[in-house]
Amino acid sequence: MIQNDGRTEQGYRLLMNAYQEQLYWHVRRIVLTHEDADDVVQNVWIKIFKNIGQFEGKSKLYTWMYRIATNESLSFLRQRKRKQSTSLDDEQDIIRVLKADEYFDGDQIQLHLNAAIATLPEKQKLVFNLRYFDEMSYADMSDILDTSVGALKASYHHAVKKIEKQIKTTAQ
Amino acid sequence: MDQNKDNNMNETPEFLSGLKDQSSYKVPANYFSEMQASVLDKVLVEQSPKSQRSAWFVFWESISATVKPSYALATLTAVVVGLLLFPTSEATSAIDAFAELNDADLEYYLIDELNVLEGEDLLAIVELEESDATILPIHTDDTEFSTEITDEYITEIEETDLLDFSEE
Repeated sequence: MIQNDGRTEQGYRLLMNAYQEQLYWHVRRIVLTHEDADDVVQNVWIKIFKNIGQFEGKSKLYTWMYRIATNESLSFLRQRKRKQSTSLDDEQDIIRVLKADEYFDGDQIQLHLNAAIATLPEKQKLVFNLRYFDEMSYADMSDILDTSVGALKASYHHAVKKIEKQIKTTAQ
Repeated sequence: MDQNKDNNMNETPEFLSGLKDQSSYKVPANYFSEMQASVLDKVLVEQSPKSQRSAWFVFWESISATVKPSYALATLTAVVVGLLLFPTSEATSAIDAFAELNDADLEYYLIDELNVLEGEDLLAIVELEESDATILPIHTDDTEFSTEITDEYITEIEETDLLDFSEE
């Protein structure tokens, strides 16, 4: 439908209706604030529509879109780190950013959970988010992250342990 | 995606299971419908035949927005010379493909590739920057100032020469 000139717009709308919320939340959990997520997710969709003609169908369409969203989000974080020479690696900085975001209204435990996730190493953070929030299968995660299922399971396990430890430390 | 859940609950400890459904992130009212409209406006306008600009114009716009004007000009010149010397369809399609990239793509590429640039590449950039520094815009005031300075030099040279000549 998307490649049919007369129905392209309709095709785009259907695709966005089906996936825009999933992709937004995936991006938001990586970049944290709504303002940043909005910038990134708009670029993601523009990139998807520009390149959808070249989608070869070797993977599922939604994993291909997740891959674009993941890459855009990580590029955004790297770019911001270079430009501002600061990064959100520290839990207190993350808590400060989350508190300042008018579109975050979690309680203390949510604040610390999100901060704990955000301080995970990049790969563990992605694996944890995709598995815990999106309930994605390891096979699909493997497509998106180019990582073996075994390594993904290990990453998820480590991520959960780190988060548990961090939240218990905070609670004490 | 639901059919792909594979025992997620078994591997997630209880303390996390309880937190999952409490959404702490919010979005503005009507955000998704407005975002969809905004994205489709941009994409459909870009893809409409009326708004198609020349690949060269888009190419220039992309590089000039991403790098210093001097680099952009040097890049454009290099590409033009390259195409004149090697006029192939592959080269033209490469320009078209480059024009498809947006500013962010180019910026990400330059930032990411900076770490892997060879010493020669960095040297070439420095040399380019140095050579640019010598090409200054000529303003009327500068020209007048230069004339005055030159006149003073001529006067000094003449006086010195005369002194030297008189000593001999």
